Amino acid sequence: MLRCNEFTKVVTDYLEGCLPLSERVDIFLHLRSCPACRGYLGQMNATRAHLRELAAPSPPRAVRDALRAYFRRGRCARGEIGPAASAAGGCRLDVNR
Amino acid sequence: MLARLRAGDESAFSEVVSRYQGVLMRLAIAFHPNRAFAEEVVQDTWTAVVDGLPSFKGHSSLKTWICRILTNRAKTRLAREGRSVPLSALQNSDSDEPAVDETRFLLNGSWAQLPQSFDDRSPERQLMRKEAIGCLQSALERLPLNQRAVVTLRDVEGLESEEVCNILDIGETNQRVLLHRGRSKLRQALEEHLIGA
Repeated sequence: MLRCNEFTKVVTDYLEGCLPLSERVDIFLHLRSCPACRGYLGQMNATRAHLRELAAPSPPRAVRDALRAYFRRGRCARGEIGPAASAAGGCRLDVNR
Repeated sequence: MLARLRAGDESAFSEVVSRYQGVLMRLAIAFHPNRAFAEEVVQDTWTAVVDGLPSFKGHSSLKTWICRILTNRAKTRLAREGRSVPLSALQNSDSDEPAVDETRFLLNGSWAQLPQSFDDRSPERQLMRKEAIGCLQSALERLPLNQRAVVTLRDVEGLESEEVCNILDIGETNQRVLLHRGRSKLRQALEEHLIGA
């Protein structure tokens, strides 16, 4: 018989789907009869859902432009394109911020 | 995508930068929560990506390859500054730290009080979401480096656990232990913040 404090120890293994069938059945049965652990599982799922919403810092334009120029110069240095297409020359990353 | 990059397609490269800049920044911040450090490591990574493209064999996905480069760059930089980068769960001192404080349970192992839902508490759900996100952001920064890196990749970025192991060069079990400890602490932080337990 699974106990509540034991469930909190295996909750990640359960959510990650890496427990053997017998343990999954134990948890399933426990959850059916235990509103507290269903509440706990809900909190874990809400935590994961909110984590997915942490804002993504988008790349500043200067960085994107500098990287693009670096990409072009890399090809130039390998002789894939002529020097005319190369911006400032030299394989350095110039970011004006 | 890889073929376009190898052919020198600049717009393909811009697309890759836009697509992966976010994950790289967050992973870099996971290694050291300092914006200047993160920006430098990410730029370092992109130049290494450009330089390494001709020799990239495509054994892993482009994303995994780029993230691995960042991991190595971040480790090298931190090591140079004299900081160690313990990614293994075993190197952490909190190995027997419980997921939930023991005092929350009765002697028979049942909950002393019901864990409450995070979502139905406030009539202002939108406000609550903002609060939750702010709270998680700072709680994430307080996690030990190894837990922070795993939670960032697995839960914030939604990568598969296999990719996370590959990027951080850690084993499957290790990854799950770190994820469990990290998630448990973040849940607790949210509970304290939203419900005041």
